[in-house]
Amino acid sequence: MADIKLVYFDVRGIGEPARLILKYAKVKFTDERIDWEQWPTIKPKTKNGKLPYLEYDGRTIIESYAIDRFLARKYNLAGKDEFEAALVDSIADIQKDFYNSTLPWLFVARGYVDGNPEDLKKEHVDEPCKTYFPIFSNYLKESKSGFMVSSGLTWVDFVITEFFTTLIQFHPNTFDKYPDLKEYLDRVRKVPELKDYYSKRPNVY
Amino acid sequence: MVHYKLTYFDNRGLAEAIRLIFKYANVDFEDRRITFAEWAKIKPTTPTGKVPLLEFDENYLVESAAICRYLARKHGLAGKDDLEEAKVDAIVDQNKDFFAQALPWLTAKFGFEKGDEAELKKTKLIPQSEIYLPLYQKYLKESGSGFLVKSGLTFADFVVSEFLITLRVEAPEVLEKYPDLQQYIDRVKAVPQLKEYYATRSDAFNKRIFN
Repeated sequence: MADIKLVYFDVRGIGEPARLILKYAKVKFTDERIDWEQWPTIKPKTKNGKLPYLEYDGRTIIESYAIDRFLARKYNLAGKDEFEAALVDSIADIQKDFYNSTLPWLFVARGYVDGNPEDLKKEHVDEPCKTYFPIFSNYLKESKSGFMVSSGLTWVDFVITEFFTTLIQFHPNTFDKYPDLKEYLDRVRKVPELKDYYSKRPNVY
Repeated sequence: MVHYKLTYFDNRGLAEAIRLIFKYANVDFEDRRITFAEWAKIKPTTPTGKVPLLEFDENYLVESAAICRYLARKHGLAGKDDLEEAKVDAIVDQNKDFFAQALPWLTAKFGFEKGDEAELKKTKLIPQSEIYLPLYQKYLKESGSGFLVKSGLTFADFVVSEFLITLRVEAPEVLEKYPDLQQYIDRVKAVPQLKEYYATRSDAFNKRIFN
């Protein structure tokens, strides 16, 4: 059995999908959560000055998507064949573009950067949602499985729904015009292997 | 045999790493290159409104890294085992972060976005290059292979070297402090399967896409 440790801050952020993969697969792992105060001493010891990183049998993997994909492949969450794996990768990269376009607002909304989040909402929340929500809706329509790809649940469903969760926390009406996406979020939350974990997890931050 | 069609602007940009994989593997593909005027007409017909776009059989793929990885896996360019593949993915994602930070400077320089090129170079490009270029040096030193990972050439080398080439063309003083990275670019360009392709390909930005 592999020796697995995931290191990230005590938030959902970009580390949560990896936690979800491991919980889904019922794989034992150390879920190490770093306090903000500890971070300055730990940062120089990391490969790239960032979190998350994964330690897997003594080897270190950095970058959230590389970690997610590495784990997902082991537990059947990466797509049923190479083409589906590529489709999952594409959708994850589209999600990353979406996420990046909201960062100026998110950093202010989270309090990392000074500013008024309301001033940034139109350009960095409303416009990106208008661009990206139809793309996600379209993939759901094409897959017909209720998840992003036709064979069912994959790691990209965790990445997208974690970010949808963040959006809803700040703006409860985010998905009012996109009921299919709200249903999708609820569907991922009801995945039998994870229902218990989601219900006990504090969904804030 | 699969018929591949790659659509992108007539520039290296985010598609060049994909073209390099095809050329390295000696796989035929339709290299469809468009201008901005053509793009305005084609964009609404594409699945996600972005390029590069790879079409083959009844399928399509978007997102440059996803396309690269899919093709690279078929042609021994993705890394030798699961850990090395993860390392390759990590490097490509880090380059994406670097590129995203540099992009406002680059688009101001090429003239498709407003911006003070000199200001953006100073506040974005230079500080970010001081974070990422030493990381690439570290990966090269750790791998010992002359490429970014131990087993040798992977698609991460195409992605990273293409961006380093852009820096060499558009902000040469940035790479001056990194002679080993300059040698690395030349080493990728000397890969036997690609030497001829690189020799006839321009590194410069093609302004004719604005026509």
